Amino acid sequence: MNRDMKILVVDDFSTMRRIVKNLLKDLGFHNISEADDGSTALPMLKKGGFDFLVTDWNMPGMDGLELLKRVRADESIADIPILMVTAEAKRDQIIEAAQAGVNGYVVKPFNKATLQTKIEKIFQRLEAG
Amino acid sequence: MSEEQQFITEENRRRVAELHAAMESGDETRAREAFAAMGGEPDRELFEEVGAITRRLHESLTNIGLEDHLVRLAEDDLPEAQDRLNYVITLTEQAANRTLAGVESSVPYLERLQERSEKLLDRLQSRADTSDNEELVDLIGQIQPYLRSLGRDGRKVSERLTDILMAQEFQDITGQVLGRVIHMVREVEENLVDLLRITGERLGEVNPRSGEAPKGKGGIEAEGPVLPAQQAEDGVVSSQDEVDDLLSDLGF
Repeated sequence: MNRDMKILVVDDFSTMRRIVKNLLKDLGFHNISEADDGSTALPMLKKGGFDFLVTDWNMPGMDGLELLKRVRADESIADIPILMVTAEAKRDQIIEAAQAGVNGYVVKPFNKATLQTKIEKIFQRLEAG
Repeated sequence: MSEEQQFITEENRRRVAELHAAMESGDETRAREAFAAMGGEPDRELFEEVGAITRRLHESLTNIGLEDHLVRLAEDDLPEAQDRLNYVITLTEQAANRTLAGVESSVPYLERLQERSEKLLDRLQSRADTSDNEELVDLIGQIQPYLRSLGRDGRKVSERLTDILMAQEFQDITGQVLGRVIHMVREVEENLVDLLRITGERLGEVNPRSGEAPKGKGGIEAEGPVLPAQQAEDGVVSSQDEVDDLLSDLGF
């Protein structure tokens, strides 16, 4: 896993963005950008250069599920691995996110170890092809 | 049975006869009109009945002095309740950000402390290895455990700082829960304003301050954090392990 990869963290709560950013830094990632909802995130992703997307689900404007669908529908960015970090914990929602093409799903409240495991798993699977 | 509720009346007999005659004669337009006339009456009755109920509701509200109270509720109390909850979100966000800033600024100090003690430890060790001065070697032997403990304790403090960092997650979760309550209060406010408009001569007097009513998007939507009381409900996962099991069932 490349620790220099460019990561976009999307959450409407600045507190949560700050937490995720700090945890990612703690895990050795330093190239991190932020967006506060899907509508802000999508143009940033389309501009290119992002290797990984960590997004919340419940956000005003464009929510995380819509963002996930839009990313998967756009050929130029469709391959970006996406980790959803959200308080949405209904089985139907998790299934919906999985069907929409999410690579990992972490339910809030979470901890550093869970985040680390999920990220490692996503990239191990991608590297294995 | 009162006259109002009676169905078999002279009027209805006449209408049925008219419809029958029109259909027998094959007159499409006349038949349609006759049919429409039959359907129109119950609607008018319904509207009149709703109107009467609304008037009675208005009179009742006014008589017991409730209308003023409801107007106050819609104009002042409910918007104020939303302000208060928003204020709680703002305050908790500020507090969480102050805590996070404290954690973030502590990390470099801690790292520097660990790095320096690490380097000093190495230098002292190589000095001890090459020195003939027993007193100095003895002194170095006494200092080394302290420097090692700095590294160990530093790691513990670092773990605690991560705990403090993670604890600030409460602001997101409580913020989302309060957001949903604010949304609900706004809906109550809007419905109350509509009710007061319908019942009163105060039409147009009551001004809801908040924005549009929420629109449903259909399909699967975000529902916000699951509360402890909801965790036992069907269809809600109660741990990350359950999420992982579910995804693994789906081939993840």
